[in-house]
Amino acid sequence: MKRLQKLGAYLFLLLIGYVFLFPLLFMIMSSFKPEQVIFADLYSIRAILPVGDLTLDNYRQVFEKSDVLLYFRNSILITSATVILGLFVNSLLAFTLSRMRWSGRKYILAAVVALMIIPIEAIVVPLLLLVSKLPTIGWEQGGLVLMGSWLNSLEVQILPFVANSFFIFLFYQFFRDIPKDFDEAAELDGATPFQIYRHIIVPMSGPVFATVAILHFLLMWNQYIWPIMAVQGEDARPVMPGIQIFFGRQTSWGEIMAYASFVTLPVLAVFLAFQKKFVSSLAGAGIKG
Amino acid sequence: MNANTSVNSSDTLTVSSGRPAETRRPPRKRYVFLMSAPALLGLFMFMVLPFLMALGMSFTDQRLLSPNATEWVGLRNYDRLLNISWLVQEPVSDADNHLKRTAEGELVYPRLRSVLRKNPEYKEFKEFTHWSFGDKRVVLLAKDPSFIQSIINTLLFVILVVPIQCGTALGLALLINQKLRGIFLFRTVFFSPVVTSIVVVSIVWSFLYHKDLGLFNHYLNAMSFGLIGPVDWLGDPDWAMPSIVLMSAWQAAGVQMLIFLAGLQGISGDLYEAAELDGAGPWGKFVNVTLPGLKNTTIFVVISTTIQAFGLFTQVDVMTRGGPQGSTSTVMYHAVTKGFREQDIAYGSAISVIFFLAILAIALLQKRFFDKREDA
Amino acid sequence: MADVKLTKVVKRYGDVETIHGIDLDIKDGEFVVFVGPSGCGKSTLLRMVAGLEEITEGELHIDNECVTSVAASRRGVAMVFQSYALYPHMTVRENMGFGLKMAKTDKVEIKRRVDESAKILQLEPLLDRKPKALSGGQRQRVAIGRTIVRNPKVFLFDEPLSNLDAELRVQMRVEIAKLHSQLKNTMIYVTHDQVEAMTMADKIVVLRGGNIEQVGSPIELYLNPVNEFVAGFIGSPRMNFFDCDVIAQTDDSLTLKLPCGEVCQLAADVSHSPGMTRVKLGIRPEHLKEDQSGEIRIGVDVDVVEHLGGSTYVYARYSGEHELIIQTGGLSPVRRGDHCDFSFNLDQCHLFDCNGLTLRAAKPVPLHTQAPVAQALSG
Repeated sequence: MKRLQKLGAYLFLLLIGYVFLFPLLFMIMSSFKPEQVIFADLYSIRAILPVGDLTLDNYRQVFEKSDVLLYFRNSILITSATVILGLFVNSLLAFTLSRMRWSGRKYILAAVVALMIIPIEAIVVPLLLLVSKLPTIGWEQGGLVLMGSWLNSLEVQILPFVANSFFIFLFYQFFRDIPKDFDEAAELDGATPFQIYRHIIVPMSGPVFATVAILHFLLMWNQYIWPIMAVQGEDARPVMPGIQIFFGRQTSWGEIMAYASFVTLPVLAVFLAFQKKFVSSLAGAGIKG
Repeated sequence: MNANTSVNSSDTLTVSSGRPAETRRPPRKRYVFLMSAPALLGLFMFMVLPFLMALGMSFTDQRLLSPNATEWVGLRNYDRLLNISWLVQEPVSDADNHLKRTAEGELVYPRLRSVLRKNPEYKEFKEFTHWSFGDKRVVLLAKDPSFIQSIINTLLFVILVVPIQCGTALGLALLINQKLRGIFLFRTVFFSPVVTSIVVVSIVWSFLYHKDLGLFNHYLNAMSFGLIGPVDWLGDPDWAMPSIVLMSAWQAAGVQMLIFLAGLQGISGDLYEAAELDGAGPWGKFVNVTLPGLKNTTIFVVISTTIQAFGLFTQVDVMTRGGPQGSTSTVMYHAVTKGFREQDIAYGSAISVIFFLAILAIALLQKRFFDKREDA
Repeated sequence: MADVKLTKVVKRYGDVETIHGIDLDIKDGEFVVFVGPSGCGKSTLLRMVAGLEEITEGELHIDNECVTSVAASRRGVAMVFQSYALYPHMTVRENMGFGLKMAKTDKVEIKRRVDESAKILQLEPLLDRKPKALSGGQRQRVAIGRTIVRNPKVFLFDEPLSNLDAELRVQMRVEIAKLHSQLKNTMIYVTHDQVEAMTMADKIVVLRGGNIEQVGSPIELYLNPVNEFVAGFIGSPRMNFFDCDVIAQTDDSLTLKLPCGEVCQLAADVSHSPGMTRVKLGIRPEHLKEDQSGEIRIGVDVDVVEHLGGSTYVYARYSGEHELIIQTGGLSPVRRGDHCDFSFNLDQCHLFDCNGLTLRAAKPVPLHTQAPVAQALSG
């Protein structure tokens, strides 16, 4: 009876697992199949198996028809710059909020918490106007000059997303639970607040830095609404608007799947590599939030 | 202990007494300022300022790129968005007081457009929808009918997706909370859609929803022995939004599943044992231990899912572009269409402000609702 | 080496004053213990000396230099924290050298001084371990070692032994005492445990509610507590108190009626407090005798008997409602439920007026029952 129950549980899990895994596997497998094979395999288990004539033609076509590599490079640049700057900037503010006494601290903390409920969607439209008015500072003919607007650049996709109230809050919560004795011991040892941050708090906070890095990476790699508004030209376009435009061209499904697989690759790689960390950090973030 | 070792007193770290006592390192304030400024500047520049700008601009006629000077227009944008009116029309009758009918036998009413144009009271209004009461026809008017439609669509999405997504998440969490070998593998599987971009997911599901080739119609056909014909999931105004709901719940449930899982694991095992000693069965334990134990988790999950759902944009933009017949246009989609694609930033800002206020209201309302239930 | 001098030191958080103007002189090389119940302000006071809390009012001098507003790291103090505060990501060596590193000391010099301090505390084999890999006692020693490296004028200890088990606590107590005799620095030690205070201190500062109740050597506090609070706080088990009616009063004696009805006369200088009706009589558990040799005999009902081997604690009720602790010899025949008589001598009684101030302290008589007192008197 017990064994039967277990078997039933596994069968049920497998069924649900199939439902959750099918689209992703189907996407990856189809990216290696010619158009007619995709349709031929669609209604059987073959749809999610790497069987039949596998080919890289779809990928070749995608690279030919679309500047995927440029978009890919842009996404890598935007994501890594934002995540690195963000880890630094957000943890610094969280440090002053959680471990230093200063007037106004409580109000700033309340403001950070309040900002957490504003979704990005609520501010993209006015943000667009704001950045269209901001000039970039460039180097031209031997002097600093103000050039055009921020639109169509990489920085317009980076700077607005560096400071993030949710990540500040995650850092704040983690730092808050570190005993104050460490700071005081370091203070007696002659460390400045920045040295306390650098030598004591940061090395002790590996888990929260990993959590925030992962969440920020996900957020940035999958950016869509902002780049479709702020970036019209191809030069600074990241992958997600890229695939949407490619999809709009009504090319073959195989190529679309190849494109989709290609841009999903980095996330999947990070996900599978840090799978445990990934899952626990997201769960932790949710509970604490 | 070694008694003959003692530390040389000339090594002393401290300042010699010659130094004035006021000597202090750079004041703490400077550190606070330098360390908090970057993030605060970022939050202010890109969150607070845009929001304040949205508030300000929603009272103007600001356009994204326009040679004309911006002017204050007061509440005109909000009036355009939210003003609703109605009128009652009598059917047209001929000279003998007989009601006119079309060839199909339907009543004929005066042309709405000319009625609206003639009456200054209805200036700028357009038909949103109409109902018939006997011979009379009630016409609901709005200055921007597609915005009203978008609000209704958004609410529909929220009402459908929140229970489906949270329910799915709870179910999955209960599934993977079982003590089975290899269960973590399923956790990874259930979570994998979350890390996949919603853009990619939307594209793949567009294929699965395809009217002729899609998997959904294939299974539907097979299971109903060919009785239920192919449904144009994304092309049918009645089905487009539910289709997006289903996909969205599928994509995002993994996050809530993990949160529920953490909640489940936070419930003390003692409680289950106590309930078992009290003679509770599996269902009794679920109702009396699990559900109460998940209360706070549920509040968090429901609020965050709701807020997220209100921002629905990407799926619509990729899969249906607001169509068919405006049936999937959402508040956010409308804001982007007006504010960005039609460059009417002021109007888009007004929508953003309304959107923000709605989010705030929902968050506060849900919190109060759950708090009350706790008191009861 | 350094004197520490506190002058009218006040601490206020907003409107709440927690330290009310403390004056205190600590001589160079003294081992001073701040003791008191939780919330008495002893830790705050220590942290103000360290520079971790701002001094709201008053002045602090270390080594004749006013350091009231000098940063913590420039006061020449080092502190052992209750939690040890060893940085978990650094080895013992890095932990000990962190202060020198912050002061941009030469690496060779850091190594030399860390090695030197490690030798004092026999930490050499542990230098490359992380704190996680150390036992509680080892961590404690590293925390002390870290302070020695900085060669401070004043060592500060904030309840350093409270995280150790009983056996280790006794061992570390002895080690800290030895360290003091070796380094001869000024040390300030905070504890809520009066046994630690009695055993380690040259000078005890008893604090209550942000005020100093009494300053003195352990024996002075034991024999001459200035008030009921100090009398109850110093000494273990706690002194027994009971209210007595005053029957007659002259300038140098009181006639009292004990709760059991017995009347006795005690010598006491009460010329400044005429017309008292009630006083409190205090008698230490170790001064109650099982035999009838004392001047005053009292009958008690025994509730609980604790046999500690070397001594026995008897918890009893005297005259119905007064709870009483009696410390007797190791092999006391007293049993739970017994009704028996104990006795005491009047010259071992303390008397307190209705405000708790001492009217009369016990006469210093050499005793055999209380170890620290016996030790101190003979030493």
